[in-house]
Amino acid sequence: MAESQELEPVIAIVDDDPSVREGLESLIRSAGWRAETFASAQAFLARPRSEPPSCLVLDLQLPGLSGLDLQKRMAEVELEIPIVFLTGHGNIPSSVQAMKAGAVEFLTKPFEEEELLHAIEEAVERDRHRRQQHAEMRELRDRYESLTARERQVMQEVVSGLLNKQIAGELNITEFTVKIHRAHVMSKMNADSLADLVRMAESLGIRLHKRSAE
Amino acid sequence: MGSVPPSSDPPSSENSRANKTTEQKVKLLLEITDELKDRLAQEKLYLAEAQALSHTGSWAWDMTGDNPKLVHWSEEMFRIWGFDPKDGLPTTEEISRRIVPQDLDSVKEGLEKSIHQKVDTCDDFRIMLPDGTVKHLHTIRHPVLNAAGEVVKLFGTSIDITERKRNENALRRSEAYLAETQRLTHTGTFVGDRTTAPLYWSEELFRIFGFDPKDGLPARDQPLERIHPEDLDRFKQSWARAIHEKVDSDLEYRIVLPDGTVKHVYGLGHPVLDANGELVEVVGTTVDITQRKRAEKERERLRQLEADLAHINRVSMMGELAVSIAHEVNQPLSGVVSNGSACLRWLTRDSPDIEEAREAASHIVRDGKRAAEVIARIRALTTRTATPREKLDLNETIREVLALIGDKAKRKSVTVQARFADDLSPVSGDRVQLQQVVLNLVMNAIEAMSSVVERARELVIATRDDDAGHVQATVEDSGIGLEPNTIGRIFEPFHTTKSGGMGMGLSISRSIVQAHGGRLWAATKDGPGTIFYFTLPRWGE
Repeated sequence: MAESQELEPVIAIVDDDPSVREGLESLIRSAGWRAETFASAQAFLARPRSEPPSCLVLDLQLPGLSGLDLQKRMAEVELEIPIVFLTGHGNIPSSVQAMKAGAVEFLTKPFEEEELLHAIEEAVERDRHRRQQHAEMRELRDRYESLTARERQVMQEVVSGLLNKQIAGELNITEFTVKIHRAHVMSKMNADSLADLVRMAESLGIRLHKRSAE
Repeated sequence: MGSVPPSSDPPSSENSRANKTTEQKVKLLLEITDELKDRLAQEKLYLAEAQALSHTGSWAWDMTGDNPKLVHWSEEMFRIWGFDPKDGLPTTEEISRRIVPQDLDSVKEGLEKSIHQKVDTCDDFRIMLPDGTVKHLHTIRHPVLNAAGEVVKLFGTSIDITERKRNENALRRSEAYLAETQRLTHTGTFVGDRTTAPLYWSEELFRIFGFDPKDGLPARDQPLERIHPEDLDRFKQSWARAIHEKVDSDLEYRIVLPDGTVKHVYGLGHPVLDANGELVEVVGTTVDITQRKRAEKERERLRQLEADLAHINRVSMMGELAVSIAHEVNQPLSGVVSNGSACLRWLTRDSPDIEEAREAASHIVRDGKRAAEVIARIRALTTRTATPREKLDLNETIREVLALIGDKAKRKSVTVQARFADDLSPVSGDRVQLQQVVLNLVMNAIEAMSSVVERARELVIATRDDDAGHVQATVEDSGIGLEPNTIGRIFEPFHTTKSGGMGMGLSISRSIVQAHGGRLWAATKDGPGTIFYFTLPRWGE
């Protein structure tokens, strides 16, 4: 499944029923993933935060903290793991709530093997994508961090659509200096074009220059 | 008595007597007188003894004077009436005083009748002696008339019949008791000859067979005609057995009265044999068991009804639990499916992993058994037929119930705590019925907590050996609790606080526990909620 060099993704299973839990574990391992099992939501939350699983296969009816409660709790602590819900009986309001809150899939036991494995695959893919985005974002942020204060100012004005001349006037520097800063920004941010830089600014949530709004 | 004694001399002595001297005559007369005296004394003695033996006294009143005058009062009369002969004849006054006041009028009436109507009278009355002894007398009065037809004397006898009376009373009482007993027990007695012809029938037997005792004993075939045609052959066989094999023979059969009434009777015949072992007669009883039969039928019907209700209760609880039960079956089935898929995957990999496949397969077996157990439990609980009493571990019995309601409790956000005593004494019981009781209590507890939001919904089920030597189980909830004035009524049939409930659960549960020799009751808790207790006798007690 996953790249052979790296370790296979970890799939966490939370179900209070041992038959279900062990069945899922066996199936998931046979499909090539690693599996971690938990008998309750609390046990899962107590798990160390390092190396979060790529997917959570979660029973809806759990004693104590329910599956939906756990989903909510995870959102609160920004634990973004794609969830595949399992339920003993089709419960439409719960499934709607779970899907709205971002669940990958909502399956009724006993589920089709392929359905589950596909759902997990999708979750793993989502997680991979999310991790990738996360990594890109971090890189972008690192690059942005590497800019000097003046360069950030220039970048903000540039992406706001100001001309070099306007920026020079705004910052009370020569147009030539603006050009040098601008070149540094493009290079440090690894931007191919102005459009590229604008997209990066958007991702970084940089507020546009006041003037542009006028 | 009273005739002149015959002379010892031959009748032809008249001539010779005339020739005898006066002296001789006087001598002869004296001799005769002496002899007569002797004879008279002898007769008197006989009479007195006869009177004493027969408790019969004699008396005579002279009726010629202004007032009747007692002229004769035999020795036995003195004894009977408790007068002393030395005091002379008793006065009219003294005699009257000894007659029991209630009987005095009838005595006077009899006397008047004999005197005025000049007829014999007799009558029974009681006298009371100074020491309080009461005697029953039977008196006969006979008026003696002169030529003019006037009453000159009143002769009579008085017989002391106290003892006879006592025996008669005892006999009458015992007969009355017997008749009463026969009526009460619907038991008739018969004596019959070998052909079944009646020789004696008790009153109750007449009543049972619908014959009138006034018509006398029924003829041989009459009772046979009243035996239900389907039972007649069996009756005859049974009778034949008693007379031929000379053994007691009993039979339940039906009789049909002319008005169509059918009675169930139980007959028992005992052959009576003579010294040679020959049959003399058959003595026996016939008991009318119609009412008993009817009561038996009624009891059986009630028992069936109760069993049906209990069954309905179980099935309806299973209905309420359907979702929960489906879940309990589904869980292991999910395990089976997952493990099955996994097993195939381990085997069909490029390099099959036999060890992993084996483990997955063993999980399939385990989960499959688990699903089958759940189904077996449900099937047992919905069965209609009663299961036999057996030695049960109450903890295990309860645990099986909790396995069925786990999902329901979870969905109702109820936490279930089992606090089972270790080494709990075993009980004797019907597993299905006891599980029904637990199921009722647990379902009620979950229901009672459904509206609770401000506190935890906790169901605690505990077992222990109590101090009184019973095994006790408690089911405790943190629900809305019971009003003190309804707590006594919750076990009544059709008492319900649930909108969908039939109100039979607790009533059925209580009768189940009571049938096990135990008790089921409820109490309010100090905190919110209710606690139900039930006790069962230990196994073997």
